[in-house]
Amino acid sequence: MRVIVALMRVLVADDDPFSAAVMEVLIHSAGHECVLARDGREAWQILQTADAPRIVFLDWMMPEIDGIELCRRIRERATHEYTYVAMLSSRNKQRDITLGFQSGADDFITKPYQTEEVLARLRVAERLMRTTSAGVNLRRAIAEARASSGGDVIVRAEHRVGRIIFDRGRVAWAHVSDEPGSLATILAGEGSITREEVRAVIEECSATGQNFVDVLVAWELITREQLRSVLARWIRAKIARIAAFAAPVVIFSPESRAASSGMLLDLEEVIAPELLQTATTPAIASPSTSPPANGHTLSADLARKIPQSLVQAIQIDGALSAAIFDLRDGLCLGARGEALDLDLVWSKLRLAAMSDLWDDLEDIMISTRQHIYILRPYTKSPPRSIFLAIDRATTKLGMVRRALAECAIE
Amino acid sequence: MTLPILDPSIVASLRNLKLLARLYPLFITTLPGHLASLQAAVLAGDRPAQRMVAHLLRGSASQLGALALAHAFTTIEEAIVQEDGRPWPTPAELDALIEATITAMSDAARTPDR
Repeated sequence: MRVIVALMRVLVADDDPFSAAVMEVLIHSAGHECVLARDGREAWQILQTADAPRIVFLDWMMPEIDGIELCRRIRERATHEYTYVAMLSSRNKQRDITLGFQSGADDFITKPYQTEEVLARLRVAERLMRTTSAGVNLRRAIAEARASSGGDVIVRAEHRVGRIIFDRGRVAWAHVSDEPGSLATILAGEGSITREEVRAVIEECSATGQNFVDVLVAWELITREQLRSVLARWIRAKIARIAAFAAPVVIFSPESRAASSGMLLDLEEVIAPELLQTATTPAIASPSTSPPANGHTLSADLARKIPQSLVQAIQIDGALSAAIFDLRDGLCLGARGEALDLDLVWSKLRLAAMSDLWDDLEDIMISTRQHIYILRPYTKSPPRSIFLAIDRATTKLGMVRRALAECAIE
Repeated sequence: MTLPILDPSIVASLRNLKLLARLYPLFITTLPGHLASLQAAVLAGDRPAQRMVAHLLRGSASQLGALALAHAFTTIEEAIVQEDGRPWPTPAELDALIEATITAMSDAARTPDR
């Protein structure tokens, strides 16, 4: 199985080579590719390209176009995929920070950089981009498609439509509506096969009804392995672009159709690992025997306390689900009750994780049509939160909040 | 209050990132050019250019942990922005700070990054 490294491209626009060098090293250390621009104009040009980075760090004061203006321009591009913008500046007055956010920035980082803080903020950006992209729904649709006999995962964002064609649990093709992409074009672009040869193969297929791939291989124009490699590269890039659509509608449409390429690829070859994970509540292992995989070791006392707290929380009148999260990275330390959509829960917790709200608030409640979600600090250091989903019809909200408070360690 | 020449926590952080030996010599060699640009902008009465260079110097010095020098450039930048006639550090003060910073950076850069 081929392992796909989930790299992101991150743009740093800064005329100060020293700040840029620090950012570059930090971004590399987080496993991402860093693209550097020395001024606002160069950054703007990079942002116009087809594979432009979707996480950008902009220095406020730089030649040509300053970071504030650049951020406004990014936000005015209604048809583009969402770009996460963090403003960088040694201006640290409250009004500067406010102006940065008013221009459309998602984050504001003051210089000089604190290494751990920048890395943590980069992780927030990365997580948010995965959440705001097609991520959650796309994962579900892919899981459904994988289990089906065949059909299309269709992702639509405004006028752009991406389509991933599945056949018997494998990927046959991927296409984006406003991008070119026939098999003939791809092969002609590879250089080893001429357009004339591709045309001759197509004619042969039309005349004999044979499969395109079979004719290519039979005529020794390409080996099956080479073709698989070319196709996998092409389809992988297409799916990555589809996954990056902003605020899309995603559906799986079951249907039976002939595969476009005549060659089926394993999902692991062409789909990033995070899109192959299903977003459901993890099985609850005993934290004392299975410490969290991210290196956050729980004390024996806490490992005992977490399952007890969860049992206590789920017994609260009207409780549907309960979970405990580490706010540093969204890791679920345990859950009880109905299956939780971890991405959805984390998208709510994220705000709390990014701020010092906990200093002043006892809990945070979010109401939806069916549910009320309550977040409450579980431990303060390191910051962990207990999360409870309750039925909207519950009338004893005060009692629920008090009962949840008793579940926390704080 | 006298600020330390270098911020030890930033020096340690740059050393951990294996950047100290690369960035300090670079700062020392590029500093005269930036100071000359600042002087030229002052002589030309070009306030936007003055501010841009002062801001760049402030940011670089601050990122490299050159606390006292960063503070001096901050004073200069704020004086340019506010146009309130507040005094800049004198050339002698600035020279002394730069010399102390270069000495401290040279010493720090001599110890190899871990």
